[in-house]
Amino acid sequence: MSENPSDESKNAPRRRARDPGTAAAAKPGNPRRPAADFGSVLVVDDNRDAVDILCRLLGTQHLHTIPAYGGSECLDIARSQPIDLILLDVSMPGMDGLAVCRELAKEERTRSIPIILVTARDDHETRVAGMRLGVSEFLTKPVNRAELLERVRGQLSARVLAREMDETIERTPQE
Amino acid sequence: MLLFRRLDSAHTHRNLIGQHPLILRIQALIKKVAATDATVLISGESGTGKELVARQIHSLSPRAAGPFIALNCGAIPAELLESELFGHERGAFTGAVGTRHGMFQVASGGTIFLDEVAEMSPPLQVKLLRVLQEREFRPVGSDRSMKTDVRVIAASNKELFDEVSKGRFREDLFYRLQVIPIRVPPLRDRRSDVPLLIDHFLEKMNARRPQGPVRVNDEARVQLWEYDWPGNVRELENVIEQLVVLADGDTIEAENLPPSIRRFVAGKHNPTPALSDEGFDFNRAVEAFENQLIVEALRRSGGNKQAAARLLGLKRTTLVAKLRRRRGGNGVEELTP
Ligand SMILES: Nc1ncnc2c1ncn2[C@@H]1O[C@H](COP(=O)(O)OP(=O)(O)O)[C@@H](O)[C@H]1O
Ligand SMILES: [Mg+2]
Repeated sequence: MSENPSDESKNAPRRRARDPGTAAAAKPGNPRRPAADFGSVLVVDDNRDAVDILCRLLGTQHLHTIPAYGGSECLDIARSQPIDLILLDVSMPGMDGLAVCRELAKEERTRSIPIILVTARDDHETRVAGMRLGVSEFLTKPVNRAELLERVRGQLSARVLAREMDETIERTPQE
Repeated sequence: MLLFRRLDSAHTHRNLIGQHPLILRIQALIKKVAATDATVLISGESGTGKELVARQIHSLSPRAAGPFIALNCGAIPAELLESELFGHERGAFTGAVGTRHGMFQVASGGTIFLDEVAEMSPPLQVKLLRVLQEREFRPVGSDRSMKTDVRVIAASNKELFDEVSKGRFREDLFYRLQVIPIRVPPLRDRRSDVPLLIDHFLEKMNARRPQGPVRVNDEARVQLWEYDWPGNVRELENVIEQLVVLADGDTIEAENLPPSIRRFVAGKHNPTPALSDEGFDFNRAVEAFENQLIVEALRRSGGNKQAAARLLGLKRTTLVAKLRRRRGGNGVEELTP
């Protein structure tokens, strides 16, 4: 992946998200273990080309992607298999992305899956709705690849971290 | 001169605000480790809340009635740091006119918080390791060891393991410190907590505002939510404080936000086109920009195409044609607002 120079022109400094699967993380004794079983990303868009492009992009980072072409298909998959992240389009015929967020929030099993909205609907109402629904990121189409990958990494490392913390909580003795 | 700080009572009831899955786990872990005397290593970028986590562990621990003493290892020259930590005898070095107690004496029965522990010099690392292993230390210039009863919580904004790999931090000390590791994620990775934190700091600042409370409107709020917060929660706290202090009405609007935040958020929505190695899809970018303008115009006109066209300086027929073309799809969304 090439560095996109536009990142530098952004005004606030931004640190690179940690990569859950780098070589450094694989060193023995490193608390950041590589997370081989991590990275099932559900990619949802009614436009097949859009899904294709995103899946291919994530594939270059060795992430496992699952395509879905609509809101209800997305829900079916998220309810039936372990998903670490959802890239979600907003405008879709039938159930739109925001309705999907509402449904996911209703169930224990799907509630904490991070969601990145990837949308051309860049208006005030959609952004406010995304914020209120607790989505993890809001990205505007056409997406900047470097930025998308950085956000995906950020969310996936948060998932790795959550698992590690569960282990730490588990092994901390109750006194 | 006292370089370390005691915990003042104002800090003790501060809560770690947040509902993000990681914050919930940190809260659970705080409760669990508070009951133990285990050494804790807290890592995370500056401003993420590491010290707050340490203070909470102390406040919930059996040592709560004892002192909590914080020391920033990066802010103090190595020679001074040793005597801050372990104290010194009279005449131990030039300027040591009297005997002085160090943190490990003063904090007895309580908790020591060693911030930026990665900055500690190698000789001091050895001495810290000794305290952790043997629960005793020797003041500078003294020939006898003293017992100490403190709990140590360390923090680092550097990846301490990387410092170990680079040979700058002792591996044995690293493992001794991180008996319990707690990682506090950057705020941008738990963005969904931003609205909660805004309200928390707003409430705090409003309580001190004689002119009455101010609120943050939706657009300002959403821009704060979209911002990346390189200075994390500390930066957010400072921004809210500034906004409340400077507010002249009762509502904070997007226009009142710091220009750096507004520029950042604008950049997210209107990315500066740039050529990557694979080239740049000119048509797609132009199309997306056009889309944004059209969506915004339609929103402002309440969906009225005539009025939207006027806002855009287009003929109505031109706008309608553009809309019809867009409905075809290919990655571009429906334009109905
Ligand atoms: N989750 C949180 N809820 C409430 N206040 C927070 C939270 N995280 C950080 N703060 C506040 O932000 C400021 C910076 O936190 P601090 O603990 O000093 O960060 P660090 O030690 O990581 O640099 C402090 O005023 C702290 O009280
Ligand atoms: Mg769509």
